[in-house]
Amino acid sequence: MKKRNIAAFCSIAAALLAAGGIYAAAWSPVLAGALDFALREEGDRAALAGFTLTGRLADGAEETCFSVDETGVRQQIAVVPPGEEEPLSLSYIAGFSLRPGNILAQHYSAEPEEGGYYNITCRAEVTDIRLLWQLSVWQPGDQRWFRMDTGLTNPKTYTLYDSFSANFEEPPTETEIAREFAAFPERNLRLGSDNPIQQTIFDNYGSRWSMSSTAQVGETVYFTPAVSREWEGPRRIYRLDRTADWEGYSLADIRSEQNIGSASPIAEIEDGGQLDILGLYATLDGTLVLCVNGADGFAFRFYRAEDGAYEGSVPVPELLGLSGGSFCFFPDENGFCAGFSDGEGVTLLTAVRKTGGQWQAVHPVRALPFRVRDAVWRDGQLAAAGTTGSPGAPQRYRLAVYGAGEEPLYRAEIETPAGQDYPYSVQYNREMAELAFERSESDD
Amino acid sequence: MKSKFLALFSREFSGRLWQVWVFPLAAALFQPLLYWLAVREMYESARFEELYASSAAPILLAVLFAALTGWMVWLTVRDFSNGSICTLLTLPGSRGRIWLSKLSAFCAALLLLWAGVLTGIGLCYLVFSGRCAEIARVTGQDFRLDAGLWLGLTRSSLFRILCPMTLPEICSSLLLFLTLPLLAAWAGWTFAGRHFARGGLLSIAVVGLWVLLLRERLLYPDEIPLQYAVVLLGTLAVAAIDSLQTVRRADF
Repeated sequence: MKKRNIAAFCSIAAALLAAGGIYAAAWSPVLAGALDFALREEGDRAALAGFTLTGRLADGAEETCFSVDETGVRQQIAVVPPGEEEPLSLSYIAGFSLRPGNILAQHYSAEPEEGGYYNITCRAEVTDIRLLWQLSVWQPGDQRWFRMDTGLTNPKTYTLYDSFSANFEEPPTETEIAREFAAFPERNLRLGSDNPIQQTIFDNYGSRWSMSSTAQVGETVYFTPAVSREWEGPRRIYRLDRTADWEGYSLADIRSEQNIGSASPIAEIEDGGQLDILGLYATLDGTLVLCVNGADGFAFRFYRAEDGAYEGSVPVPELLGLSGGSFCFFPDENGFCAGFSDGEGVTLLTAVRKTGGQWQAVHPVRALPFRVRDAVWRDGQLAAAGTTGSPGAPQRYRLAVYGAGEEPLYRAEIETPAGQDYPYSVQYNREMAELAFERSESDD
Repeated sequence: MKSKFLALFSREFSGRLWQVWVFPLAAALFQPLLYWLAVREMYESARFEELYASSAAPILLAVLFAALTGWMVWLTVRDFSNGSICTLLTLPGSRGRIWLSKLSAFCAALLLLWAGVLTGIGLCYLVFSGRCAEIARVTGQDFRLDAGLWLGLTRSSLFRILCPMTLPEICSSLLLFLTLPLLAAWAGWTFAGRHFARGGLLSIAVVGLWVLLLRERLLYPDEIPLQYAVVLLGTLAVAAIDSLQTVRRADF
């Protein structure tokens, strides 16, 4: 073979080796376990028997799928192939709109801003406001709105406000500000953030308890206006009627007071006027779970989704022991685990099941030292997994199994390399995309 | 047949080996240099792939790939202008071998450039690691990032084209890469044969589709634009058959 042919052969071989070398340099730490998870454990891991925690740590470009059970932690690292993103799912946003029934007084003010602009504010003293309930249904390629007048009124006097920036040559008078507001009749007065009504109408924005008032059983959507006991009028659970007339409404209609679509009341909430209606959820077998706060404290009420038949109540007053936070609800076929997580990362959690036709709390309320992402109950044991760490900071992933005693039978921290992303920019930080329990068959 | 093909390949590739090496060497050496120019101003943490994208290294790559393609077109045209191809066409046996040998030589040149690009990226990572260690020493922060090169390669849409990790990406990147020698060989043959209208139109179509496919891969790394890939593949097949027929018929 001629020398130049040998050189050509060597060049191609060197190119292949160099390219292979870069792939090897990139993959070898991965294959050597640099991205592996570890368990820092306390207690007997045998307590995990019957439970399997699965999860996916992902940043959109690569992912680590893992599972933890009584044998330890197993994982698989993969580059996310293109087109493997999960499809969007059906979701709901419940909100509210208030219609000032009687405006007792209106005050206008203006604060100067830069460039001849003024932040003008309208404050209105109102009473007897009526509650409109609004629901949006989002699914891929489809967005629909529903709105109804709930018939609920509030006899108290509140201050509503609205503000926006407008340009004036001179400091505006009250008349000029009023004229500016009148030019935008679609604008809606809203509640100030410091107004106590914010805490008594349990909406999705800035409420004391972040709860959902919309539940889905199969393809059917149920909802209830979540209001405090200060409101007057009937408290009901409604089924959304999927009729044609609720299609085609755009986002521009959001501030209108016109009813959109229709809903059928399926149940009247008994003693509703004595309760704060906090939220509505559903178990996987189709039981609607209404969360209420009454004279005896927090309770779950149960209604059959098909006909709205009342199935009983389970009071759990200890569950509302935190000053604020978000509600978590983890349904299964025959019950659920539920609780509240506060901003400090503490979760009060309990388990409720239907046994022998009766709903009952099957596990005492536990204070877990993390925000619970999933929980499951089986044969007297409550297993929960979640996170600690403030938003925007590295999250730590925790797991615990509780029995009858106060202390957990087993607890562990799942150590991941995700925290290493945080000293860098935030575009591709690894996050726990999924964290869920699988429960093997039990005797209950 | 085999030895004749090798002889032709040798003429096309081995004879120009030292010129071919200029491209991968430039990619391997100048990329880290340009990357270093970007990194030396870094006083706080930034990701490897983001710094690479903000450096002049991607421009260098564009220039090198364009220069290699242009050189390949020029080589084909020059073979006609100096008459050397006419000698080859008079040789006994299939003329398709001449077409294939030139295409293979172009592919080999591209392979060398690709390896040079990857080597340059690897060296860029060494520059990055060194700078991070320096900043960590000064600030006392922990910048440890296990499997950092792998994370960088997977998290950048440009790197996912240059260093594909999944089967769909490998197929798509192969198509993007192989378009260059195929286009160069085809354009060279048709321009040499003075088929300017045919050559010009099809060249513009191929380049347009190639740019669209590249743009989609860069902007939307989560999906492979299958429609562009299929049309580009079809257009390339037409171009390949057309240039092969041109050579077989000696239609110059």
